[in-house]
Parts: sequence; structure tokens; C-alpha cells
Amino acid sequence: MKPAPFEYSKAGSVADAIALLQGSDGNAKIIAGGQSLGAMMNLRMASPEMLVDINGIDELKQIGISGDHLHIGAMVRHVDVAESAHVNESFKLLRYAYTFVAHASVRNRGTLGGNVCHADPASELPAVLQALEAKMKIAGAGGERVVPASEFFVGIFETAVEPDEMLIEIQIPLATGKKNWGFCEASIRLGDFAYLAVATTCDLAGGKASNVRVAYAGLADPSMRCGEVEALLEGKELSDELCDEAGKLAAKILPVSGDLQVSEEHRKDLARSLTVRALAMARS
Amino acid sequence: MDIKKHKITVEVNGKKVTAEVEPRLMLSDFLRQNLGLTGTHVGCEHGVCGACNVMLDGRSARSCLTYAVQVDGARIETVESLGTIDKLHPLQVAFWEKHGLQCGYCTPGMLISAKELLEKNPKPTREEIIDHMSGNLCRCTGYQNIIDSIAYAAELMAAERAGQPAE
Repeated sequence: MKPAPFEYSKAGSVADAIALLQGSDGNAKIIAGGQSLGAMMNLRMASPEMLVDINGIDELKQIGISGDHLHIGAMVRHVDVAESAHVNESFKLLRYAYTFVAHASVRNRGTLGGNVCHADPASELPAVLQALEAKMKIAGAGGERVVPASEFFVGIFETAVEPDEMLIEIQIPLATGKKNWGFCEASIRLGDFAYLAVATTCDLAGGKASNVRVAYAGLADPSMRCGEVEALLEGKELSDELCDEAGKLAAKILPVSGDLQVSEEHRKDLARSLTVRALAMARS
Repeated sequence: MDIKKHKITVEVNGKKVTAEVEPRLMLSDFLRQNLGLTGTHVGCEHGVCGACNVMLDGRSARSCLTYAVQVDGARIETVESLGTIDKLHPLQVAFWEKHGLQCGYCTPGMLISAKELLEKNPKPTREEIIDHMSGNLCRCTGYQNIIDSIAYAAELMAAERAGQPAE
């Protein structure tokens, strides 16, 4: 289907983009790679009155290490994140998760920044970034602020970014890249969104896990970490019994629902079994 | 609604084209309707099927998820750029000889994706072909002949590079 009519402006800078958003009274949306928003607009599930194109803002296209973080600009394409030497060397969880994300043509245009701002609850990357304790840098008329990933995904397709603000950078601590990790996903076909996915990181020392982070996608709520599962595992040895218990706890408390393709019961069971598998990956 | 049109200058298959476009005009429709390049096909219009794939600045892209207004200054290659009836691209020879198409609807997108794969990875394994091509859907063939065609095209292109002409 064709999208509804809209006005178009190409922003030359972050300040420019913010001014355009402010001037539109909440009726404008940013377009980055267009792989999510473009599809929604073609299906007429979204019809913003104006698109602010940020593809020309070069300062958002940088990816590199500065201090003790990897900085990924909001306009860095998925393909460039996934194939970056920094990610391949230092963030193997992110590299591995990317093998489950979409297909070449979509990764060539889509951006990591756009994916997190779109906040599809079935998308893997918000869960991965929460397991990696990423931080999102947001710019608005009042300046810049940093929001931790665990506070960024506030609702289904809803983030902490206000209508007159924009995400400019994702920062991932190098320290979390050094942790043990696990990632498991169930989807209809490889590359589809997850109908349940688990991303986990932890430090392992003396046989005991610490700084355990377990994040989920495919829930009835926005993707999130599960504090109860993390608390259960913190400071303990990741024995088969404990991991099984963690899986059962996840199935019991995570908000899941059923749809035409996957029943609620099946999702609950996946919450259990994928938790166990992801933890097995992390401890090996 | 009086939507402002935008002027774009874009290189398509090696030729510079200038046009005035409404923002919501998709690149797929611009290519097909404004430029008469109907090789690019429109299947799902929401980024899933891959029939609309073109090369945008050297990388495959869904032309149904790109607005024409966004490609000002860009370089586009459509399936029409692969070869001519007198000099087919090895991919076209291979799809022909190995029956990689039936109705042909998905084929332009398949060829663009395959071209990208073989540029990045001239000697792909069968698994690598399958993995890269998974973003293109086909309703007719059951995919096996498409994979065979791409594997064969890789051989033809390797032979060409080694100095033997492709048939």
C-alpha cells in the first residue's frame, strides 16, 4: 500500500532536526533507515504529517571506542555495527545476536539507533543492549541527557525519547563486553522478530556468577530485564538445578501473551527453556 | 493538501536523472513509473519479500522502504544494469540454465541479492548462499534451483576472472 501524504525535511545537523521536531507540534517523526517506520507507513499503521530525515547528519555515523565505552552513533547502520571490528572483538554477544536480525538488505539501511527508538517488543536488540547495560544519549532543546537502557524502553513502541528530542548515541561499557554471555531466540524463521528471546551476561569467578543480567524480548510488555531471575542467580554457582529453577521462575512471572502464531503456553515454556539454554551458554 | 515537491538528482544505472517528486513517492514506484524501469518488482510493499531490491550506493536495499526524495545524490543500480540480451550477466545465464525462475516475479530481487553476495563472497558455500538469500521470498520454485543457479553463477564468474569466457 502507499503511505499517506506527508511533508519532508532533510536535517543538516542534530540542532536542525530538533528545531524541525519542535516546530511540528508532535506531528513529525524522524526517519533513519526506514525499515520499521517505512513499513508501518506503507501499511498505514502510522501516518506522521512530516518526516525529518537524519540520513545526512554525519556526526551520527561514527562508531568507535572512547574512554571505557564503545560509542555507536544513532545513524550507524546495522551492517556496520555487526561487521565492526570493535563489536567482533569486544562484544561477541551483540555480534552473535545480529545473526538473528533481519536480512542483508534490511541491515544495510536499518540503524541500531532507529531499532531501539522504534522499540518493537519482539526485537532482539533492546534486550541485548539491556543485558550489556548500554546507555542512550538523547538530545533535545534543553541539552543532552543519558538514560540507561533499563529505563529507556517504557512501553510497547514507546521510549524515553520525547517527541521533540532525538537519540544521538548508544554507549556500551567495554567492561560488559568482557563478561560471559548467552543468547537464545525462538522465531518462525531465522531473521524474523523473536517470539521469545533471552540475552544474559555475567561475570564468572571461582565458579560463582556475579553481576548477572538477564533480559527478555517477545513479551507482552516492552523488553526488559527480569530482576527476580537475576537476584536468584546472583553470587551463586550456575548449577543445572539453579538454572532450571531460574527458568521456572521466568516462566512463572514474565508477562507473556498468545497470538495467532504462538500460544501463551508455548511462550511460557520458551521463557523457561531458553533461560536455561542461555545460562548454559554463559557458563560454558 | 498542498505537499511541497522536492527536486532530486540521482544516478540510475550510470545515467544522471533529475525529477521533482512528492515525498511519499517510493523509490520502487519512481523507478517503475517515472523512469519506466519495470524490472524492479513490487511484492509486499513492507520490506519482507525482497522483489523490490535494488543496489543503493553499492549495497542492496528495499526500494519499497526508501523514498525517492531520500536518494538525491545517490547511485542506484537496478536489475536492468546486469546485462543485455546480447551479453547476459553470468547470474542471468545461470538462472536460465539452472531453471532458477518460473513466473519471474521474485527474480529481479534474487539477482540483486545474489550480485551482492558474489561481490562480497565470490566462493560462497551452499549454506552461505542460503543465508544471504533468505531475505528474498519465492512462491514458485521451492528455492533449490535458485541456490543452484547462484552456485553455478559463482563458478561462471570465477572462470571469467581466470580468463575463460562465460558461455
